[in-house]
Amino acid sequence: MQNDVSVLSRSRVNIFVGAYGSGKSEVAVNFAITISNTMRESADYVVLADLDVINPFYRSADARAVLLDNGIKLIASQFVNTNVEAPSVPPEVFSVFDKPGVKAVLDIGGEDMGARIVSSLKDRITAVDHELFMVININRPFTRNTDEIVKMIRELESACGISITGLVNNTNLLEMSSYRDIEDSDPIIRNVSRLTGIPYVFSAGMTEYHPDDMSLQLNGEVPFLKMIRTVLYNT
Amino acid sequence: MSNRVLMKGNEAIAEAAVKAGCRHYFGYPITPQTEIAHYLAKRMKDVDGVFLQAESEVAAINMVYGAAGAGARVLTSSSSPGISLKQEGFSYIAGAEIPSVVVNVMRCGPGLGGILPAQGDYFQCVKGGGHGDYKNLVLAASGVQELFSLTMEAFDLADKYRILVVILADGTIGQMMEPVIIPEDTDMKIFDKPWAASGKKGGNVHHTIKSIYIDPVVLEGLNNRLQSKYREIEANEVRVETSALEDAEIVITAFGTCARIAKNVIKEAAREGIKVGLIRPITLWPFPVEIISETARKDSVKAFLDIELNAGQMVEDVRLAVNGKKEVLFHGRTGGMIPSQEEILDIVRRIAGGGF
Repeated sequence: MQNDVSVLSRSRVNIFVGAYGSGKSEVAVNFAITISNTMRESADYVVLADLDVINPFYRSADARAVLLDNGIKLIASQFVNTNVEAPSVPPEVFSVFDKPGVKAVLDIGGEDMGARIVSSLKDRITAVDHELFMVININRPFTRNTDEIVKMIRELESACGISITGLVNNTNLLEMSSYRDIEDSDPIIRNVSRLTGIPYVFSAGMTEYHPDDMSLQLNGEVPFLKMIRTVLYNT
Repeated sequence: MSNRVLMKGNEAIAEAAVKAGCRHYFGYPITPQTEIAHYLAKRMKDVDGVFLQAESEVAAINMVYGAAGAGARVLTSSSSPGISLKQEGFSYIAGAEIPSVVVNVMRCGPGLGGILPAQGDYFQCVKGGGHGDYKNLVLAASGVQELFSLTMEAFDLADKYRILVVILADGTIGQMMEPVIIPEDTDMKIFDKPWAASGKKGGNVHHTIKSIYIDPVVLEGLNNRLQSKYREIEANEVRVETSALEDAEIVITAFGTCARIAKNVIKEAAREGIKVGLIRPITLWPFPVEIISETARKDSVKAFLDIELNAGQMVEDVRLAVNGKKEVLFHGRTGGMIPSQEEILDIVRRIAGGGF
């Protein structure tokens, strides 16, 4: 099964927010790879900006090599991987809004603290067609059920200053993941979508835990982003 | 829905503290343990607890002194440079015998060093750090589920012995994510604290929490009592994990992250026909002296290999326990570097071949 990218590639600027450890970076990197692969014949290209100013440990800049292999330009703080704890906003990020041929994927730091950076870019973001995706893993603390997720949505929207346009179900248990993660969490994300009016745009999972037939069977009308592991987690 | 929660080590510490009945957290942010503070800033609201960001690490440890001295279960957490700042408080808490739990998610030093994982605070937390004759009870987990259960246990141990318990984790253990099963109903022990400065409540005994004793006879009495308490802890509270010791030729000693790497090395070495065992101290103090000295006496054991994220700290305790019976080799990395499985396997191969 090929990733159904039509829904994934409709906007020029795609921003990923969510709770800490919800898998934002992994989803953002795989999203970038997927849309980049649809643009191979064109002069246009994808830029991934790592704007996680919160956690210097695990982040999308770790995926530098795989991004370059896929023709994706990476924008990251100059301090990434230097062991310097001085996360800062790389100035090149402003340029992605000005280039019509560029599709941008912005990987934002966790929760409302991380999401504040979206607010600082609000005028530029709202001037272009954009998506603000919230990545959800219901196995993570503070997004365990409908109420908690709705509360998190409100906190994120308040910090971002713009509305979330889509929910992404990335429920997993890392090495203990199975297709059941999506199956079990699906009704909760649907319920959140019904309550908030925010569309449930796609679900995501590592290819190794989601064989082709399973993802097809489970997701029905919600597209499924099959991911490869690109961001390092554990020893 | 899964009954497992995907947690970072730091989050597991925070939730375990809440489960253990801790309702007071005082801390100051520092990478790589800030998730503990962040989690509790949210979670303490749900349980009518207190979260307070102090103006410094020194303030936070003294708030622990005060709140725990009043009988509450209290937590503070920091990382290496912040733990250095708390050392005066450690010594005062030891002298006043206040049950306290302190988390140290270690980063690389010395000085401000860097934010990456290390185990360079073994000496500081196990051997002292503050002044005077005292001990901390030091617990080291090597996985997130274990970190959860050890944190809960830390509060019981602190109350039982009126001692400061340190949860000593390296940055990797604090930052790594693993599925955790959170116990529904916990068998929380309630400790009577007749000594606590919690008000006279109509009685007539005035409790004082202090570590100053001007009379040398009285102060030596306190020291003797502390030492006999420490001997009791050494006799009763040693926790250690061992694996493949039965026929091991090489015994790896390691805690935390290094023990995780060692387990992979042991499997790989077995495939090559090299018998490697593991002794993983879970209590760094009290140190598992007995199992190490027993193992050192076995004919099958050729050598010990101690692996740490420092320049050689726990290895001193391993050498004392081995007591010259076998060679004790050391391999350590510093600066936030973590030894690879292949790097350690290569040393194991050389020891097995007699070429180390």
